[in-house]
Amino acid sequence: MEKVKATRSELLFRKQQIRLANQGLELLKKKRDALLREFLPIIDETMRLSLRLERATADAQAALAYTEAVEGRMVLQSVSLATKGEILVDITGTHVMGVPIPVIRKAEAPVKTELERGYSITGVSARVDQTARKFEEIIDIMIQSADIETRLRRLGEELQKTNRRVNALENIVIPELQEQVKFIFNALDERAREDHFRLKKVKKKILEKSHRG
Amino acid sequence: MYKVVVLTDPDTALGFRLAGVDVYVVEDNEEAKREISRLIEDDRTGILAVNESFLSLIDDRMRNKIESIYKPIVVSLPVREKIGAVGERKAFLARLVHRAVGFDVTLRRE
Repeated sequence: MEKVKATRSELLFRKQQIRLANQGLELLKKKRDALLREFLPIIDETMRLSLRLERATADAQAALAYTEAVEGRMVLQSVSLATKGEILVDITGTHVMGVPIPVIRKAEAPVKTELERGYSITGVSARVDQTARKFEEIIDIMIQSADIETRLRRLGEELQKTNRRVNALENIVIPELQEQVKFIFNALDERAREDHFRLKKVKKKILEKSHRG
Repeated sequence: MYKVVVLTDPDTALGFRLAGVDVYVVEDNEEAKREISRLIEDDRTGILAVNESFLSLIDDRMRNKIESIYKPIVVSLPVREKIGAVGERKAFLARLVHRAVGFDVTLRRE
C-alpha cells in the first residue's frame, strides 16, 4: 500500500476520492449497459452474414478456378477488361456512446443481368457468366454486412475498454482507497487514545504533587 | 455516392473484375499497406474490401485510424489460399463477443 500521512485533512481527501470513484463507477456501469443494449441484438445477424460471405467467397473462388482452367486465363482477362461501371454506396455516420459508427444509407444492386455486364454474351460461355454472378453476390453480401459488422466490432471493442475500467475501479482503486481511509482512521484513533492516556497520567501526577504539598 | 473498392491478389482480382467493381491489384504485403493507406485517404472510397491476409498485417496506428472513421468502411474479404476453409471468421467474431460480454476475470487483492 502507498504511504499515507495520518492526518485529518488526508482522511477527508481520501473520502472525497472514494465518493468520486464511486460516481465514476456508476457512470461507467450505465455506459456498459447502454453499449450492451446496442451490441446484443446485432450479434446474430452479423454472424449469419459473415458466414454467408465466407461461403459465397469460397464458392466464387472455386468457380473462378474452374472457369480459368476450362476457358483459359486469356479469355477471362479480356472479358474482365470489357466489364465497366462501378458500384456506388451512400454512407453516413452516427454515434453510439461516443463510438463513431458508419451507416450505409443506400447502395446500388451489384447483381446485374447478363446484358448489363458490358461484355458480349455471345462471345463467352455460360461458365463465365456464372462466375461473374458469384462475384457479384460476394459484393452484394459484403455491402449488406459492411456496416453491421463494423458496428459490432467497434461496440465490442468499446465494451471491452469499459469493462476493464469498471473492473479496475471496482477491484483495485476503490478497495485501496478504503484501505487507506481505514488506516488513517485507526492511526488517528490510536493517537487520540495516547493523548487521553497521557493527560490522565499528568493529572494524576499533579494531584499527587498537590497532596504532598 | 462513394465507390466500392476491392483490393486483392492478382488471381482473385480477375473474378472481381468480372463483377464490375473497382479492383486494385497488389502482389505483396508492403504494396498492400501502401495501397490501403492511399485508398483510405481517397475521398471517393466508400467501402474498401481487402483480403483478410493483407488486413491482418497492418500496424496498430493504421488500425486505430480505420476504426475511428465513418468512411471508408474497411472490411475484410475471406479470400483463402486454400479453397474450402470456412468458419474462421465466425470464430473470430465469437471470440470478440465472448471478450466483450463474457466475464472478465480479475484477481482480487487481499
